[in-house]
Parts: sequence; structure tokens; C-alpha cells
Amino acid sequence: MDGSRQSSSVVALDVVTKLYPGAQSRAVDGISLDIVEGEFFSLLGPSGSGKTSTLRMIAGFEAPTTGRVLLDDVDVSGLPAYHRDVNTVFQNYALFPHMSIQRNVEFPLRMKKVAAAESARRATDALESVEMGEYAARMPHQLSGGQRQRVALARALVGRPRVLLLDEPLGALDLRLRQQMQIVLKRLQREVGITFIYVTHDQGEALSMSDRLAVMNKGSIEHLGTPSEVYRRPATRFVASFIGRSNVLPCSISADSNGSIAHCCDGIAVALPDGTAAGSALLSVRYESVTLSDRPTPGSISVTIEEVVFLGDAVELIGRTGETTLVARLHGLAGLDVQRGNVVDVLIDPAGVVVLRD
Amino acid sequence: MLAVGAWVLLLVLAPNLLLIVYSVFTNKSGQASAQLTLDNYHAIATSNVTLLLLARSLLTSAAAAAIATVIAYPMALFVVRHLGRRRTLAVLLMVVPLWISYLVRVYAWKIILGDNGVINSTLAALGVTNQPLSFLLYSRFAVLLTLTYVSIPFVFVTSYTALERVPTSLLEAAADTGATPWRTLRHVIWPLSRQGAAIGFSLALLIGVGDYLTPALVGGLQGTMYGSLVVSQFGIANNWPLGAALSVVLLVLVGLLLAIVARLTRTAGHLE
Repeated sequence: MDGSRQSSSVVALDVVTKLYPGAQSRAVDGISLDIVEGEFFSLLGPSGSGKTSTLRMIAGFEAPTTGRVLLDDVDVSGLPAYHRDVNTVFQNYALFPHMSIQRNVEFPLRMKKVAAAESARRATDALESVEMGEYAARMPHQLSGGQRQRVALARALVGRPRVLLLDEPLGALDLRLRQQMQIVLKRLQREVGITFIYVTHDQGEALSMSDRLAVMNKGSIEHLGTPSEVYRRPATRFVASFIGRSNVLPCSISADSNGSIAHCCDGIAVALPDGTAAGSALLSVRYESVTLSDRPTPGSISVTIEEVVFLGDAVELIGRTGETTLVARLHGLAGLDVQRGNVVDVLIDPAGVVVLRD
Repeated sequence: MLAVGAWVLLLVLAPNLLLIVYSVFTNKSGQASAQLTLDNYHAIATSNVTLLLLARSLLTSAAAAAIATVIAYPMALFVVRHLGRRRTLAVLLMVVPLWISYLVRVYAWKIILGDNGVINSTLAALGVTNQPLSFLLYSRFAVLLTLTYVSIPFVFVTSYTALERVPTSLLEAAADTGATPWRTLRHVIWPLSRQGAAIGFSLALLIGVGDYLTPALVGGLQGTMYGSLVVSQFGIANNWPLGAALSVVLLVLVGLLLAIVARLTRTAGHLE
């Protein structure tokens, strides 16, 4: 989606396509990307969206079918992985099972022909930075998943690569550990200052850690922007439904000198910013933009509650009016006493509404 | 566990014990008697011919197994890395010779290496030689060649199995951290697969070291091996105790050799 390219990008993809032999459709379908130095960039999408294939082409494990991969403005599309100044943290860690942790982390330095003493010192430092210093003499099979992940991180960083690629590194960890590691990763990235390219299917991770992210679907980028932009102003229906949770209401927009209004089914009308073009469209309303009103007010919608879902820190109310189902996500104590079968009034916050034209 | 124990007892321990027991029996004009003696071992230790044949057999079969490893391991590497879906066919082709009788395969070499065989005929037709190369057959060379040929499928299969188990992600991790294909082989692939190659080597060694068929068919007089000695004791010479003693000596030495090979190819860590 981003067509312009600046020369200050550390990694750039120029209309890259990847078609695997024997495959029916392209895994990556003509994407272009510019990643700025020092940023934490995420590729977010469901399985099969092409995000891992994209990462592998940047790493050098696959070559693009068409298009170019550039590192610091140099075309590296045909360059094998061992010549690229890019390191990867693999999802299954890929630690060498026959080497100790110390030797694992020293490996990139040995390959660069760094002297033994200095290799040892830098490896020790790298292990310290991920708090694995005391495990240096152990073997990989003696470590837990989280520990191995940190060693993999140390090994990928010790060579001070230009770019660090992370392929769903936290996928195999439990929730608690994942949350801890997210903080470790973010802190490390800030301290070291290296560009991180992070692949994940978890939108929470992508939103909380990234400076910018690209939402991918079926080989293409549907939206590229900061987490805030992508969340608040999703560009397509896919992005709106993949990130956060939204009600999607078909509507037709009328525009006149008084402003624009979206008319949805069952008499629902939502005011839109002045100047919104008329026509048919989809209205994306985040669950948290639907609120409870304690009394009928102009613009409120009367719904019958079909389900009440308790989520701990929030309550979701699923309500129906006519043919339309609306979900409201209420925080704190709001909505705790609502029950199935109640008829309540809800309001749609126009600020939380996005118009999608697909 | 009981079944396994019974199996090991019946098929492994008992026969070997019997062999050892026989080796200390005496032989009286073709009849083994239960008079215990170490004469058989003494005879072996003092016979230059026997010791020579023992050394030759160990060396030849070890050499054959080694050459087979040098040939088969790279082949297995190629099949695993570059053949993708066609690798099953390749493995099948490598294993097919094992379905053919051992005797027939050795005999085939007898024909190929003979004065009028494929090699000599081709060389003569090309004008390279005037006379057939006689060292090809009925020589130690012929035994070495045949044993190498026989060893290849075994080393291939065990190497292939070991190589297949090396996860692709490790190879990518090696490349990712700067290892060229050669260095990946040396630092990652070989350490993780050399035990497989060693097992194949050991199997090949075992097959070759006691073999009497190959020397009988293609060895001629020069190519006599230890196995021929053992066979004749159980056959023509009718001296079972001596034959048993010869076998025990071979068993112990080969056991030692294999233990050394296993020790040398050990690799730390667990492959999951």
C-alpha cells in the first residue's frame, strides 16, 4: 500500500512476489515496504497471510519470485542468508543441540572469525543482557522454552546485525511468560537500537510493541501504520475485524449541507464527520464505542439483551434490535446488573466509528 | 521386558556362551571333547599365518567400510538436501541391491573383473591395454572392491536416516548466523549425523570381517581372509574347538574396534 520509497530505509521491499512451486496462489502478492532504521516494525496477520514468507525473504532463506529485497539500498534478493547482515530469532529457537549455551552464542562470532577471547567475552555479555549468564555451560535440552528463547535472542544479537528478524518468537510460551518476554524484547530493542522486524498473528503483541505495523492478508498489506492509526482508522473491513473487535453495519450515507449521516438497518442512524461522501458503505463500530445509556436519548438505540459475557475486567452485552446485532463492551462496573431479556438503550459514539468502503 | 530378556538370552547370550565354551574344548581326531584347554588360543597366538590373516581381514574390511562411508555419506547428504519428493525413489534404488542374493552380487563382480569381463573388454576395445589386467580378479584388490560395494547400501541407509533427522531450522540458523554451506556441514550437520555414519560403518565392518564368500569367489590365493580359516575349521578340517577359538578372537577384536569407533563419533547433547 505504501508506494513511496525513501533512501533512509534500512530494509525495503520493492513489489515483492513469492510463488512457491506447485502452489495455486501467491504467498506474497506484490508488496512494497520501507522499514526505517531503529524502528520496531511488525508484520501482523493470520496464518497464510504471507508474513512469514516475507520475513524469510528478508532473511535470505527464500528468494523473491519477482521484485527486489533491499538492505541499506543494496539489492540483496539473490544473496544467500550467510552473507546478509541480518539475524533471525526462530519460533522453535533452533539452538544447536550439540553445543553448550556459551558455544551457541559464540557461533555467529566464530563464523565472523572473531578471536576466541573476544568471542567468549561478547557472548558472555550477550547472555548477561538476557539474564542467562549463569546457564552458559548448560546444554540446550536442559533449558525450558522461555530460557531457550532468551538464548536464541542473545545469539541473534551478539553479532550486532543491522536488522533482527523475529518469527513469532513467543508463540510457544505460556501467557505469563509471553507478557514478560514482550517487555524484555521492547526494552532490549530500545537499548540496543537495532531495527526489529517482528512477525506475529497476535494483534495484542503487535499493537503493544510496535512503532509501526503492517496488517497482511492473503499475501498483501491491507494497512500500514502506527498501532493507533491501524486501531482507530482501519483501512479495510478485514483490518477492522482482525484488530480489536467491531460491529460491522452495512449502511447508506446521505450527505447534504447539514452534514453526513449513515443510515443503517433497523432505523440506526449515526452522524458522520462533515464532508463524508454519500454512497453505500460499511460502518465499523468498535465494541467499546457502544455504551449504555440510562435513559432513551436522541440517537440511542433500544436493544433486547441476548447474551451477557463476563470477561473479568469488562462485560460484553450482545443486544438485538430487529435484524441487527450490536455488541457493547463495558468496562468497570457498568453493565454488571444487566440481564438477558432486559431492554436497554445503547449509544454509538461517533468518534469511534470508521467508514469502510470495500 | 520378560520377552526381551528371553530373546536376548536365547539368541544372543546362549550362542555366544556356547562358542566360548567350545573354544576351550579339545579336539581329538575330529571329535570335540570336554577336556578344557587353552591350546586353541595358544595355537592362534603362535601362528603367523593366522595372525596375518586376522590383521588383513580387519584392515581390509575396515578399509572397505571406510571407503564406502566416503562414498555413501555424501550421496545420502545429496539425497536429503536436494532431492525433495524424489528422495524415496533414490533411497529405494540404493537399497534394491540388498534384495538380491549376496552370492549373486559377489559373483557379478567375478564376471565384471575377469579377463574377459566388462572392464577388461572395454579397455581392450578402447585400445588402452594390450593384455587384460590380471590384478582385477583373484586378488586382495578384488576383495576390497567387492566388500566396498557391499558396504555402500548399509552406510547409505544409516547416514540417510541420521541426516534426515537434522531439522531444517538448524541449517537455517547456521546460515543465518553466517555459516557457509561447508561450515554448516562441518559444525552442524556432521556432528549431528556422524553417529549414523558410524553405525553404517560398523555394520559394514561386521559384514566384511568374517566374510568367507567374497574371498572364496574373487579373492584367489592372495585374497584369503580370516573367514576362510574359520569356515574350514567347521568344515573340512573338522576342528570345532579351534574354529570356536578363532571366532572368539575375532569377536573380541571387532568389539574393541567398534567401541573405539563409537567413542570417536560421540556427540554431546540431545536431538529432539
